[in-house]
Amino acid sequence: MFGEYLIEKKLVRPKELVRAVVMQHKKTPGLLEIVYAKKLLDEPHLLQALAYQARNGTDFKQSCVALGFWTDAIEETVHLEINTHRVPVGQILVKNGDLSMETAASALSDYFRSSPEKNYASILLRSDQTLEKKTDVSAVIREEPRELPEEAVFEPNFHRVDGQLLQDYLDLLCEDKKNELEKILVDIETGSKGGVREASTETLLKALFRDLHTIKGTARFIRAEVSEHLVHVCEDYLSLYICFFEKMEDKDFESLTSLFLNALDFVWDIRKPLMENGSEEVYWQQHEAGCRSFLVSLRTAQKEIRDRNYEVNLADLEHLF
Amino acid sequence: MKIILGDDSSMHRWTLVSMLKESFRELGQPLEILGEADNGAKLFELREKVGNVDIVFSDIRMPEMDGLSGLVKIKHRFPSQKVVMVSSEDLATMERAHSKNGSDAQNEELAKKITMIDGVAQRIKAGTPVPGKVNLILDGCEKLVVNPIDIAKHFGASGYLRKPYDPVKVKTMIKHLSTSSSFLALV
Repeated sequence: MFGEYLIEKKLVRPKELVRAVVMQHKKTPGLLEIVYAKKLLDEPHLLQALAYQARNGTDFKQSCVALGFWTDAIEETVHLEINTHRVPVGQILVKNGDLSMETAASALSDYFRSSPEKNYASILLRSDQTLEKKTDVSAVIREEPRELPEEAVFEPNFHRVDGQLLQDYLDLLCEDKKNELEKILVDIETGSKGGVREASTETLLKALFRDLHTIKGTARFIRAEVSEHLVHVCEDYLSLYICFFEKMEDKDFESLTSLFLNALDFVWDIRKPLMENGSEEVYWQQHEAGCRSFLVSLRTAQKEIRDRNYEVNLADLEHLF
Repeated sequence: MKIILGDDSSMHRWTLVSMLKESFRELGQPLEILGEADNGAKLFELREKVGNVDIVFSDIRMPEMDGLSGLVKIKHRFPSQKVVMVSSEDLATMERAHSKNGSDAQNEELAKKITMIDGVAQRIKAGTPVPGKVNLILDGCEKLVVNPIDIAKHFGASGYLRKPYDPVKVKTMIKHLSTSSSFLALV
């Protein structure tokens, strides 16, 4: 993180960073505050969640999830609110007089350039020219959290799991299953070449989706949040292919194969630490940057297709029904 | 209470059975699990075989015949049967291609899509799939980018439970089914 970078470069002292982070936390609205202010849940649901929280010693979000109140829409709204209101640490350090504006801007630029694996950061500050054109440096610092893509704010929780549930998940991720999925991907790419979209390719896409869905559901069951999220993002992307299969181009299928082969590697790589430790935490500590970078790649590819604004044309589909 | 369930994952079936047993124990009511199936067609056959059933739990995404198609078959044959759909489906997965604004045009489009899916349902009820056409409800939902939960409600499901299963959600659903005939979605 940027704060750690500042410490590492001895641009600020730990106590200055801690003070800035504490101030940032104070200024950032909490989950309950956002949910209440934005009326994301009504009072009866709020009370139920708070009661559950008190009884079970969980946090507010966990209570809402357990009670089935927490939706993707609420998640998105909360993240947007947090990112809108969170004051960047750099800005607080400048305001506190612990860092000069010029030093902050220079450090920010170096931070993004020196960490190429932090692709989400490079999306925020796309090129040196972007930084150079900014005359208001505080705007650059301000820009940081506002544009954070979704995958940069993904923060998994880690749970230990063992016994039969873990074993069932590990059995699902056997080498044969990986080989099977890789073959499906190769067949999809091969079968789709030349612009002719065969029905068999559509069948393969659905078979792939079904397998991923099973893996995701099982990962969710054992609360392997990193694996679940990886596969969830893959599903989102793949669903576009299933919906608009006939409009996809050859290069889209090449992209799908390439990305998904990587995705399978990630999911299967998590298998070993999960088996050894019953948790994804060790894996995440070692591979967080790579995972985030890959997730951003997936979302970027997905966005590119969505930006084509393909529409479901009912007239074209009527003959199928 | 007599229950049957369908899910292609034995782990999920086992988990649901455990949750149901726990819920009914807390409610002080007897529970009998009459059988399990791993796809929509087998779930329908099971329903035919075991006779009177209070609640059917069915996963949506299953091989051979999905749960929504199974729902159509079950409700056609047993109109008063209570069926609860379950899924790991992320609600937004199938709808993200389209923005939701609830406009008249969107509502009209949804109505058209449902009419098209009704055509699939007719073939399922008659047992007459037609080559080259969409013959399963979930396939239709994917082709038309329709929320499968809306379709479940349209075909008479009593509720929807989103996985992972949670004792509170399961108990809430059971209580709801014994007191109300309205559709309840616990996401």
